Amino acid sequence: MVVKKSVNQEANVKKAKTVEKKANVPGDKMSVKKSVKTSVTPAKNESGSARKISIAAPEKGVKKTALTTGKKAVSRPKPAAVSKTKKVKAEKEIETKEKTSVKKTSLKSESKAPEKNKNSKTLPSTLKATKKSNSGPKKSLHAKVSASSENKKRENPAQKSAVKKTAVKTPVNTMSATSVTSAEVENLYGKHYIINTSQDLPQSYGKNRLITLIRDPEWIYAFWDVADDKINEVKNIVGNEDFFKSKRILRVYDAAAAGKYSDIELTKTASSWYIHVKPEASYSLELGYLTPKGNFVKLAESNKIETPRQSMSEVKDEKWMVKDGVFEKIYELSGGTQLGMSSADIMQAMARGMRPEEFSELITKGISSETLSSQFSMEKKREEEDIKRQRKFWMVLNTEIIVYGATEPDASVTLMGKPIKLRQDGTFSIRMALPDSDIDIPAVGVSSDKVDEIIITPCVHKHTNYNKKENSF
Amino acid sequence: MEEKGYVSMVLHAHLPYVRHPEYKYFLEENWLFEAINETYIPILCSFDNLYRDGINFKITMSLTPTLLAMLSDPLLQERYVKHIDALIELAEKEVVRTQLMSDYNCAARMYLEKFQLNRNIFVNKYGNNLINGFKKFQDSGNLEIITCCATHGFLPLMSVNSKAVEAQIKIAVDSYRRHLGKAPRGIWLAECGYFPGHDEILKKYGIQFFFTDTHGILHSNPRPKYGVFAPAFCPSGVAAFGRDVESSRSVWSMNEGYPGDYNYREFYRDVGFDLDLDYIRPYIHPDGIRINTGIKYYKITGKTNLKEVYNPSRASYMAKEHAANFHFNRVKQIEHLAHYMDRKPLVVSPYDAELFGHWWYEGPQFIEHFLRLSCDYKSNIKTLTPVEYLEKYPKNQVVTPSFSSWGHKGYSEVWLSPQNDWVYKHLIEIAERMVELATYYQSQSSDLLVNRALAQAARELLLAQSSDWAFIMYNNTTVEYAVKRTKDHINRFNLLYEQIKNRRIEPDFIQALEYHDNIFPDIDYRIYAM
Repeated sequence: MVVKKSVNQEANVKKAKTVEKKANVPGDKMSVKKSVKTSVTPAKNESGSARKISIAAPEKGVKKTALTTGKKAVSRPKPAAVSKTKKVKAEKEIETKEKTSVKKTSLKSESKAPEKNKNSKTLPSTLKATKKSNSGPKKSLHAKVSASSENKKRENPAQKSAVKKTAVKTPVNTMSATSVTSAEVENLYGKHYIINTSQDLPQSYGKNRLITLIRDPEWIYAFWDVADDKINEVKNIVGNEDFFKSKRILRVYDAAAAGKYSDIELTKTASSWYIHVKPEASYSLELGYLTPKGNFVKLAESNKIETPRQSMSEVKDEKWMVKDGVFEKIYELSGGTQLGMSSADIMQAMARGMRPEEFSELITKGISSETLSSQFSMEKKREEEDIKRQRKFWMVLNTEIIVYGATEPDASVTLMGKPIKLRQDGTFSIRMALPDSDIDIPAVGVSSDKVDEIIITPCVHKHTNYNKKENSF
Repeated sequence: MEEKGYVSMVLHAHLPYVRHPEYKYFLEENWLFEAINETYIPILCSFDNLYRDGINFKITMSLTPTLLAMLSDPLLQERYVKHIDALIELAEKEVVRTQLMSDYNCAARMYLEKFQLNRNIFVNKYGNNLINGFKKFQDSGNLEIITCCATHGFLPLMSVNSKAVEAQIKIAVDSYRRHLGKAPRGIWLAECGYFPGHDEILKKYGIQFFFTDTHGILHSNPRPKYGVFAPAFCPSGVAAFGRDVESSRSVWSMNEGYPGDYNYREFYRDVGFDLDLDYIRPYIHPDGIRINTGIKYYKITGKTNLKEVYNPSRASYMAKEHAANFHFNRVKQIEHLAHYMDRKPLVVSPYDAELFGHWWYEGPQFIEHFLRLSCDYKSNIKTLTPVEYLEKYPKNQVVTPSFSSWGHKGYSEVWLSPQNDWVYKHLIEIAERMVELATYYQSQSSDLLVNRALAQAARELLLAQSSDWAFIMYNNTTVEYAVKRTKDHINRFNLLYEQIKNRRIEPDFIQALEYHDNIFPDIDYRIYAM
């Protein structure tokens, strides 16, 4: 998997304008990555506990956040706030009004520090929730921890996804064989079709389903497809009025806590969601409507999934025992203490055309054993060399000379002593790059009977002068 | 000398299926041509040098089914020859152009020689098909060729549909057999993506071993006694080999690794960008867009724009130095590990093959020299293949490896992120549709046209499933192309689905698709049947 650089460059040329625009987007990839790097580590413990609160034992506090902030919490396009919302009464009329603006602000929140937004009118909803719950009633601590850790987790996937989804809205598909525009063209193999099938993809396949995929030990991704018929069915069951007051939710069942679940309130238009979960746990989800009376009407249920372990297993194998401490040592030598940023990232990114400088910050500096010492000296030497080379003013001037002419087709010509090939009509052309020096470039033409000789000599001078001037202030 | 442990070097050679007969020139096809020029042929040359010197080296390479299909494709072979002919012409001009500048001229002459050699090897030695080259070393017992998922599908995100997973394996095994004449013994799971239970499917198709990333083994259940320094058996009996972090990093880390040495060739300075547009025009994109040609005159030099001219012999010297250093460090690593193990440790070092040569230009020389040193009688480490290790140590601990990949952060994030998560709704749907069609039609006495439509539907599904598209979207490189390919294959599948379901198959449409997406000619759609 490689060799994409050349293409990349082509795209840059072609789309110079778009690229520039992209660079100004706040969620610009590189900058996001940077912020991820600095913010994730300190937040780790906090988010760990938040996770426990928000999913393993859904608390009232979380619900309160949703209440105090009302509409904001309802429509915030991010995962988590896995709250037990059975009794929550949301003011949803605002939701539709604010949907787009909220989604935009969530993008801003990626690049701005939360503190700067204090009391701002354009405060992203996610942050507002945090602030309010700070002074909120009992148990608001839980909500605070959970919300703030989510803010710190900049890679919070759904924030980006919400933005993306507004941008990449696909119209309802009208696919049929007739939408294929095929044209016959000629090529190496004669006549054939060019098929144009890159139209937008179907928005719905008309099935009722909910699928869950594992992203990593802490995040799962759910997406769903619900046919209109099914929604109408629900409407008939619960009645029109109740239906419009109902909330669309994802109900998350943790297999370890039998019968218990937590609910995530969805935005009306969402068709997927990232959910913060625990490692080494088993989940299944249901999608449905929660009526104001607290009835849950199910639309679809998901596959069961098990999140992976994030650390070494506690189970020891009697047949394959080791002395105390040996396993830990082996674990360490295997690189177990520095997992997360695999060097494959580095390899792949470079192989696929990223500039190494952009990437160096992602490289873990840890060394897993004593054996690398000899490399250190090599590295140090290189650094010193680098320093010598740095901060040097530079300029390059490339010069090329094209020597071209014509003579009798049967004559022989040499340039600087080397014979050159004449074209059939007796013309010739030589292109040469010039180094720094005074060069004579004699061209010697001799007639076929060796009687006449003509010598033409261009003389070229190229010199580079390095001057040092006094630094004038 | 009695060896103290082993190194198993694994090169994963893969490119997505990019073949556009409908265009005379298609830029992304250069991925293959560049890899042939800079990686595949140079690696084969290194193997040849070792073989000629009677060195019994051992190395493992995965040649993915998509790569095998492209290497054996007459159209792409023909286009490669055109590509290399153009490069030879350019290099000839460069030798003349740089005649007054001896340092540039030295590099230019190196390129001319290499291009001529490549052409000769490609056309005359291997009859336009490099698979013959790899096969030669497989037959000599030096190279263990393993397979990979049919279209490099990332299996963990496919696991809701076990038929989809199984098809990726079965078709891979079929493709291997077709091109290499026997069944593969091992597999490189695409992106090193292992999901618990998939080893059962590998077992079903006779695969004996695969690789996981470090934490796949380290986090297995129960605890692995030897960490990643010995394989473990899955409950199915298939062996899992875990990746060693240290040897990976010492090669690839920019700060500590070898390829950043300032003597090595600078990847980002190419005459396609540096030279006068009129002069270089015949060798770049026909629309005049500058692209890489492969002639690069500078060394890395340092963090400066004033690059020094590349010196091939100096760079070769450094590659040897680095290989010696790598060998030395592996010896030290293995000696250190031996204190904690009651058997000889195995260090498994997998890399993307295309990094050697394409990105790290001197990489193939590094590999050659490392293999040479490891085979020396004085070396107390040896290279071997996974199968050979299993022969030495047939008893291994039984564990269930953990879900893992070698992508950023070690799980699915690279392929399941806001940039690319939209593909799964469709991929899962069309896989299900494929199962539906196959299940219905397997027992029907259907006519030839229906069978062709079903086979083509399977091809479109498989091509849509390539993890490369999601990877490109995530890394924001040639996103437009990746999105187009994804949409194309999904739409083509859905059109076929409608036509088959409604019994209104258009023969012209089928023919056109067979012409465009001609991978896996002997595919049997019934693999998807329940």
